[in-house]
Amino acid sequence: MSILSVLIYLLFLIVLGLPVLCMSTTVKMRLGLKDLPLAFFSGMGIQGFLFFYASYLGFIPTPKVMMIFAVPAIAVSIFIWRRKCLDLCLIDPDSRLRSSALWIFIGFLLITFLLILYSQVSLFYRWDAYAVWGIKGKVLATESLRETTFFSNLLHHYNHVDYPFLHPLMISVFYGLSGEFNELGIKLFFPLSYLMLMVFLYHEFRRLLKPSLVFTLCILFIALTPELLIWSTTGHAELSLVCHYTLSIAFILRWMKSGEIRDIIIASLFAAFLLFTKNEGMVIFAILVLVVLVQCLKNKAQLKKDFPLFVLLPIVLLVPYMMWSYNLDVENVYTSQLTGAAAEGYLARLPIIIKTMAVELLNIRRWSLLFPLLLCLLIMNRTQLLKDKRLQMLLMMLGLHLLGYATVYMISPNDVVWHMQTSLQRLILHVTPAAFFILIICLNEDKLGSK
Amino acid sequence: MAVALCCSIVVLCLPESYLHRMIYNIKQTYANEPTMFNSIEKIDQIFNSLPKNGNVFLRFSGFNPQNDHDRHVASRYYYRATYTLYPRDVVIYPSNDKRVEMSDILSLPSSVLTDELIDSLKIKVILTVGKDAEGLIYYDLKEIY
Repeated sequence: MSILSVLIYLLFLIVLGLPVLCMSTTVKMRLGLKDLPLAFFSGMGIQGFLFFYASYLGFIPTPKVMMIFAVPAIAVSIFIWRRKCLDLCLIDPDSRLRSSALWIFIGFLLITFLLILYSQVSLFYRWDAYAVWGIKGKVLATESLRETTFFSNLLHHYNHVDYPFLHPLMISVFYGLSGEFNELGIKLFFPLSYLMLMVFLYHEFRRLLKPSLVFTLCILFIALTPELLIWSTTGHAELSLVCHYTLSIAFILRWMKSGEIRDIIIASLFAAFLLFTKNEGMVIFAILVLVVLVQCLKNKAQLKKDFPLFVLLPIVLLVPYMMWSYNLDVENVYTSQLTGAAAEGYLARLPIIIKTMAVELLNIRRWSLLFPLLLCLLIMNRTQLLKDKRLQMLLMMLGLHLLGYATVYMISPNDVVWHMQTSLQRLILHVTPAAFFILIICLNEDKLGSK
Repeated sequence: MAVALCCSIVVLCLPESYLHRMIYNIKQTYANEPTMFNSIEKIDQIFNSLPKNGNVFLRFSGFNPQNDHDRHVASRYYYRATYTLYPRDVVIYPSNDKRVEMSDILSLPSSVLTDELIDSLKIKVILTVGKDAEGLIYYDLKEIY
């Protein structure tokens, strides 16, 4: 029954994501297995919003409610499919598995198998996984937001009741489907998300870098990033955030190349998903907005159409959540600390923050050689690389992201050393999608890499 | 470049790496040997062994409210209990209309739990998590009929 629930839920997520998948393609492109990750992650995000609205209206996730959402998704997909006359080809003949690709996929499957084994050796065991995310998954599987008193109970303020709901709703919908609090079942989805992310990255990077030994090694190197592996099993929301951020970046890059409005709409959808995954999504969204604005400044048509669309779509989707969150008696511990008198104290923290961040980025055990390698590549190819618009954008994102988190630590009401010890690894994980794209673009430009 | 990438992949497979630790924990678990997950499993065993009806009052004894480690241990028990026992309520403080810190909870006198409170909060079990003079954790269970 457990495996059946997992398979049905997987199918449900893919079905919900089908409209986005159909929207993402053109007549010339063939839909195939390579597009599954896009449907999966879109489904994950759409499901979060749909079940939040449903919970807000008094419904709890049950198989019947899931059917109510799945049927229109299928209808919309068929409509787009027929209108665009799309073609289905499970394995695209243009990208048939070459021997290097075969090894890469075997590598992905082996790592995923290991992660599945690791995810099944325990229930949620990290504090955030059960006290912040898991408990809300249980609450929303049994009571709707309208009737539960869990979120208004002030003794639960350390459960971070105001945090966004995409991740807990994924847990609760699975519980609702399986009819029990099946923790080991939902834990299977984290390694599966990892696999989907890797398949998506592989195909996305193939657009940027020609297949070669360096490409094979590079993609396996990225797939083996230690912190990515760790957070792909624990039940935290970090992996979801990383996935949605990765897809948002990928579609912004596609939009920069194609100028097609569908690409910016999909990038915007994933920006909405990451806003609904974690509060850190706000920092990332602000950066993405700035990046898209900079790109649009050169094109008035895009500034009038694409930019407002990119900003407004996530805001519109999040209005019900913002209204609900506003009514909670939760004080923002960060903004309440922002006073002129405290500014001197913030600046005194800066050397500690910079030093700790630098040490973390160079920690080979956690990040292997990702950041040192990135730095070397950037220095070696600085002249030609800095002419690349995509790279300028990604570097801006990486820099602003680190700056944003440094600011959060500066104004944190907690002891900064303790705060950094308990959260910095996860925050650095959030910047890795931009780092991965920079690495691939650098290798593309690098003469050694393109051989 | 290829050499640099190969080196970094080798780094991941070293004995002190996460990958190595992951494989070690998987092996230990399937061989029924102690792992890093046992502490949580032990806590869960206590909560899962409680009578299945009514809410639970969780109180602490012998924990120092001013000690970081004690507060951390107590908070782990409380949040794990809230999670594991849901949808039953885990009551830790007589009222839920104000924010309290773990130090407030650890400073509660035992007299706080009155018959009136037990009735109004539908408490059926009082679980005391205590810390003895040697720092060992013990449990005391009292059922309310």
